[in-house]
Amino acid sequence: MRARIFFLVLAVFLVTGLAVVQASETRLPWVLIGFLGFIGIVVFDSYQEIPKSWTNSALFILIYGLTLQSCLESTPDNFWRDQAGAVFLATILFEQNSLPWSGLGFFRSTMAPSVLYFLLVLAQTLPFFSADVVFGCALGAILLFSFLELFSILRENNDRNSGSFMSAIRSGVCGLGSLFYSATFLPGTAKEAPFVFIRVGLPLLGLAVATLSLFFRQWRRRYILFCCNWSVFVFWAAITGEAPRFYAAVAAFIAGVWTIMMTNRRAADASDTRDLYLKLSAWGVPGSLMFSMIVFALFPSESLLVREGSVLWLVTFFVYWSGLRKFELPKKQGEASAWTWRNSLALSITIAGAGLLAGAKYFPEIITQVLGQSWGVIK
Amino acid sequence: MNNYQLLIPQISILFGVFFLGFLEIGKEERSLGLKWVVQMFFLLLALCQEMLLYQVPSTLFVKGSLVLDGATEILSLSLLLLSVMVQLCRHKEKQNLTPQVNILMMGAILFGLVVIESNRVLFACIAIVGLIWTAHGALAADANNDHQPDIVHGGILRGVFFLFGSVILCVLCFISFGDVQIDEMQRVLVRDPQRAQGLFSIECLVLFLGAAVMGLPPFQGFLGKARRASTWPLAVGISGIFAIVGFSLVARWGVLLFTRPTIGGVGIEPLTPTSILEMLRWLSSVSLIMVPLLALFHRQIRGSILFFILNPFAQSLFALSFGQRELMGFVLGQILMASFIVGMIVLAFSLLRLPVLASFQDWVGIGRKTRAASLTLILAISAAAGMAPFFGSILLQKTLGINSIFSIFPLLNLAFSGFYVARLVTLAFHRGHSEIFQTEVTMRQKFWCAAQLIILIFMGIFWQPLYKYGAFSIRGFFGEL
Amino acid sequence: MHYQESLLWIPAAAFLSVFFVNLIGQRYRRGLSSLAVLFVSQALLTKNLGYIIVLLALADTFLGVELFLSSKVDEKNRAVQSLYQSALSLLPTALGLMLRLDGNSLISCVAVTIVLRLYSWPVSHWLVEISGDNKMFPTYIGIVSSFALWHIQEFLQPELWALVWLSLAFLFGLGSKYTEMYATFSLGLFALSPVLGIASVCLWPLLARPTYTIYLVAAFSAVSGGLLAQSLSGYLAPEATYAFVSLVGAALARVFVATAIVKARWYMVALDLFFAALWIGFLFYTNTLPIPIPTPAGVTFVDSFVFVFLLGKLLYKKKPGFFKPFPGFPPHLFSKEIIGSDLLLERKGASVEMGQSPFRVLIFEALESEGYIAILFGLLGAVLLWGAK
Repeated sequence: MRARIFFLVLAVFLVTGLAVVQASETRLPWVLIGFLGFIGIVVFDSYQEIPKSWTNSALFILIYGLTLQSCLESTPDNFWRDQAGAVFLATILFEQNSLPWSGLGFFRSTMAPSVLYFLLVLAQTLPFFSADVVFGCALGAILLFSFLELFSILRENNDRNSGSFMSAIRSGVCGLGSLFYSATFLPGTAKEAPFVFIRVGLPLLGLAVATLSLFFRQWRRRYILFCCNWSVFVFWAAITGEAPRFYAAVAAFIAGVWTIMMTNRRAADASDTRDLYLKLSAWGVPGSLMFSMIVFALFPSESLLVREGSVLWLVTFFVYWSGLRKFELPKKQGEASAWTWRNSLALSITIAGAGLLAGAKYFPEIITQVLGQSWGVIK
Repeated sequence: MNNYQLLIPQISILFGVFFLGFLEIGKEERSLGLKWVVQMFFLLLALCQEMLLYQVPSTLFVKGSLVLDGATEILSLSLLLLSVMVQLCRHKEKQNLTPQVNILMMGAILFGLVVIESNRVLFACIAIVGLIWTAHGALAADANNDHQPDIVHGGILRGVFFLFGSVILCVLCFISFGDVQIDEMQRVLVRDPQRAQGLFSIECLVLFLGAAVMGLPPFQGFLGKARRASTWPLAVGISGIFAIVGFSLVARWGVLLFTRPTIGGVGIEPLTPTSILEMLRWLSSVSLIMVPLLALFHRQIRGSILFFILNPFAQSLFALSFGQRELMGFVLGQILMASFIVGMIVLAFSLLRLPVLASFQDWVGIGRKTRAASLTLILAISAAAGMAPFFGSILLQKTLGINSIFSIFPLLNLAFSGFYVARLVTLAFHRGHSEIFQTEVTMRQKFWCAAQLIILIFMGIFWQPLYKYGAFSIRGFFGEL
Repeated sequence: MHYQESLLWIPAAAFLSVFFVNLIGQRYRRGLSSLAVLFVSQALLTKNLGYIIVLLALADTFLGVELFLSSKVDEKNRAVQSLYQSALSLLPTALGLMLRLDGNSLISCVAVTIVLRLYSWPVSHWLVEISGDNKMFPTYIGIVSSFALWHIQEFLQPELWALVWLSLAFLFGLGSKYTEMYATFSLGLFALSPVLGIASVCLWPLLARPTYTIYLVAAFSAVSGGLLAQSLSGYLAPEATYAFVSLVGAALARVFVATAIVKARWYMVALDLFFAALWIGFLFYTNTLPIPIPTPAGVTFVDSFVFVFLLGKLLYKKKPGFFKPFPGFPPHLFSKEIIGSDLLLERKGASVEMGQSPFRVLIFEALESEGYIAILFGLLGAVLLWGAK
């Protein structure tokens, strides 16, 4: 195990170093963002599932490497191919680490959506497609990957995937890919009709999924849908075309990936307030890191469509929170989860993230100025 | 060119036919592969022979080749009849077909031979249809006697499919060309270039039909199954006859693809590379669809995976058919990867000790019992399918980037291949308990699996240096394209 | 802001003074509640509506956490429920802010938020169970947070909002507490005149406990109501105005009549009076209070209030049922269903496994054969011929 952990950490830094060396000035921030996101997965892997086997470790490194490579590509075709590779390997990870299921229902396997994803990626290569169709395929691919876990939501034992490292990897690859695509390869057709209406369409989709989640009586399955929605939320914030919201999307991406890992996967223990706080924080309730990101990403906009989209997102989050209040907090159970340094670090980060709002009066201007100068070449 | 040298291909065909007939008698599995190789070899020789002959502006050798063609067929048929007699004597106790079927079979054979010798296109097609339909019926009846109802139903259905397809072909021939003789087709080519193109298409179709009848890969399934399913010696004989008929069709009609006839001093334009490439494109397009489909619905997992190995080759063939030099480097890389994949699959099979008759149900749960071997197999098959991040995905992307309506075929290929991979992966990790596979893998074996996987994945990730190397190699071998 | 900035400090000071006084009176300290108080104070001093919402949300979180920590294991769900309810109350204003509404549209959204946060009837207040003995927090957090949201609004039609608050006072007067009614009139008064509104805020220290200082509160409420009633001339006909304000006055009086007076320590009451006087004096010192001229509508309101109040005081002991508040909804009406956090039992889906149906097997067997090739070639040939021609 120790050898695998050492290899894992070394490989992460090695891959990051390679990417940094190859990256140009404009791509270096993306490498750093990707590193921040994925290192969180390694650091907060409380159950040590990634170094549990060489297969998991190797696949994780490959997915991380492909994701970084996709951010270094100069053409959309190569970007999408690398993303498709990361998607495929991530789905293999899902299948490998999920609990056994009956296999009934072909589309309940995560492999089927990964194939569809690659089909959409390849369809973009067809030269006789118009720009609208190409962007439609790209949009379809991003949404498909965002809702990858929705396909398997009715699978047996799938709720155990909630808060797993596979879910975090999916969120990481999807988030970074959608952010990079929005910043670098987004075609002009995305800002014209009919695609300009995705600024309302995506939140509507999120609201529909949130409403769907109310029909699930397990909080873990609802949380899977919440994580899928979070990916769409990050994409939406990036695609609105406003710089501060884009920065908020970047922060939301990192926060989302970290939070999935920081949440203890075992059932909530009502007597352990810290654990319960972390669990509730995973849903973005007020007083959490995710809530700060929600506030930053939903600040008022000049665009009517973005304003309407913000409203829909807020209602979506309320729908998720409304479901939270119904769950019974179990009495103290026999096996209490051990509180480790990872949990302490997670708690500190969550509280610090929540505290960002306390300085909300001053931070946005400071953050915008600092990030704006360093990101000016991108935006 | 020395005239005697022109006889060499013709003689080799003669011997090839003998050898073929000999192999048709054998019932061993291993001989099948050898038979296919031999068939391909002699087919190529026959085509070369015809091509060479028709280039020579001498009617003497044209007539001579025709005579030799006839002699070859008579001799081969004699050999087969002889082998049938031998089988009948050996397996006398197993003759359980009704006399009516026996007569029908013999009548069909003779009728077919006569019709083929009459050199008429339409009759040739009808003869083929009749032969195959009768064979289906015979095999089905034979299987019925052996109480194998599945084969009976399957055989009848197969016959139905084949019959309909053949009828379509015949109707096309009749409508387009009427009652044309095979030799006269060349004259049609000369006089009417408009009809020539359509005729060329029909020729190609009949050519492939002949290959199917003959049992050339990947069309070998039916004949092989028929042979295995039936213990009746006549079935062996019939399949041998099919081989000869198909061989003859391919050899005779295949000439027209490459011919530059100068009969009577009349020259025609050679068929352009564009037409050949188009034919190749159609062939590879069909393969792109059928290879994953056949693998998907195959019952035995080993056969399914082995069959699926053809996928990267079909993709390469498709890319080649566009004739673009930019794709050559990718094709070479793809072939290199495909050969690597074959090695990985062989390794995985050896690790898993995969039984021949293992079905897909035996595969269930294998991923949880042995990760190294199953993952090696899965990723190798994924690479063969052309999934990202493997090298095949790059070739697919480049191929799709060509502005052509044929682009639908690689997409369909990926859809079927992808679903094949998805099925394998899903079954590998689902709840189940695979008992028949060997699951103890040593560290050394795991190391080899990992090494091969790493190489395979790096071939996909670091494809640019590979492409540059491939393009450089091609320039080195073939010069500037 | 449409009034002098120095007035901004008075509400914050008044609220903090309340907290200071009650801190002395409490037997134990609550750190999270103190933090919540600081955040709410910050909200009173902020001019940006977005920041106010965020600060209030954080304050609600701290109070919710405190409720969670102090409740029993079986009742911790209520803390989560409370947290959701508080967040839901801020939703209308957040929506208005996001949609960049302005004018009466935004003020309407803020008013809806205030209604959800302020009143403990007909749905029990989201912080009703905190602190056990000390019921102050739900009262003050509701009032102060409502004022924080209200005080930065720009009123182009203050008379309209006077009518709105009077109507709400009548509606919620059926079951709400006197402090909530007082706050209702404060908000309406603020819309008419910020200085007078701040004057009502100065009496916040007197709302801490229902001692004899309640009469001062009642008097100020009556005066506030009368001032609000005077501004209805533009919206209602005179006869309707008199009828309406009479009913509102009666409703207000009922609330005060039904409030039982409790005994408190003298020094606590003295402190409350001291701070109230201090802020009123500061207000007088720094600002000139407008002297309203009474009108018939205002006088009608005051008369109605005084009459019903006095009558109520006489009749309350004999007929308490006339003056008791209407019952509201049960506390857990909207959260009856509790879902267990155990795992779902396995649920099998529809079988789409390939190769099971005999018919499917036959079809695939046939497809596996070479028959398909003939069909395909035939079709290909047709396409080629068509293309050739």
